[in-house]
Amino acid sequence: MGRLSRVVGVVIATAILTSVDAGAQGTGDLWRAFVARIDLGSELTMRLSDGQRFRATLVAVRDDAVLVQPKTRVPVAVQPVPYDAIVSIERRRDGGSGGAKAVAIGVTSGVGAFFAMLLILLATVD
Amino acid sequence: MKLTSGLLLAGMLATVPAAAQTRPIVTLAAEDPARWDLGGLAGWRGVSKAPDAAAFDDWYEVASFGAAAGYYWTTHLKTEVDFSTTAEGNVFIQQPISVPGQTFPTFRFGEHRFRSTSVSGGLVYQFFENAWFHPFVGAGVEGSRERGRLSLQEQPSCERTPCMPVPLPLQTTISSTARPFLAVGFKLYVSERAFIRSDLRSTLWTDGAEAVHWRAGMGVDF
Repeated sequence: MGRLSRVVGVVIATAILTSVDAGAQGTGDLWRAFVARIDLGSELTMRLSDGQRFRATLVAVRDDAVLVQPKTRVPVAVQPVPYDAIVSIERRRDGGSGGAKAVAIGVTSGVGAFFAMLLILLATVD
Repeated sequence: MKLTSGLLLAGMLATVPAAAQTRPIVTLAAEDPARWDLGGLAGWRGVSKAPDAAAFDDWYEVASFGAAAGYYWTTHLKTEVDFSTTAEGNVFIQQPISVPGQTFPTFRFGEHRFRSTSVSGGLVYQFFENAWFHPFVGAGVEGSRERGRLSLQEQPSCERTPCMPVPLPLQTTISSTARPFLAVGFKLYVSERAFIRSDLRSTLWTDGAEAVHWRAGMGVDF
């Protein structure tokens, strides 16, 4: 009875672990095929199984992982993302408007600063 | 044996998610993140003077100028020290005075002018990792030294003929307080290290918000 229960336990544990792995493997194959069709240098929004969500540039496609460089303020290294860890990938189409964004930020900041200074000056006038 | 295999299995199942939690698949943090930030700020500070001030004018609003410096313990948590000083603001004062033998009160009225300097220290939690926009929340303690100048006039009771108010001697007061504060704000980076910052903070006391301070400015990480 003791031996039987041990065998059953091992079988259940193996089944749990392999079913999770098989599911991830299946999704991984899908993502590998998907990424292979995306042009290198494309901007992506990725969501991973650990909850991370970030924008990145597609750098290379390998058999075991996709190489991306996350789009961060201070640049970080190119990093491999295993296909099994990918929950979703969305290709961004508006990735090339850095100049326009910078202008928008500059104008917004300038206008905001102008009105802030105006309010402060008004407050100092007695 | 059973216990050993059970523990082994539990350990296997428990360590996989734990490892995934502590070590992210992709690192967004900079290899050598800035530890310090320093910024200059200008803003608008409103201070409650209830119940001393007249009910219709119990807050004074005034321009403020200051600087803040912070040290990042992690990419999310920093200690911040802050200095700020204000221009002069004022509230209207009206004090009824009972006069013996008179059925109605006479009034003292005038202006109470204030100028304050404050130093604060607190903890700030910054959201997101190595991003261009970082909202943050913070809390701490603010010590404030406020100098007040009270100029009052007393309206004497005149039975038949009109009479002018009589100026009273100018009174100068200095008060120091320490209050907890809560803050919310953001840092918007315009380059890798330079940022625009704005925040709203409120010092709290038994009756609720005692002062509200909105500030905006620029700074740099280093």
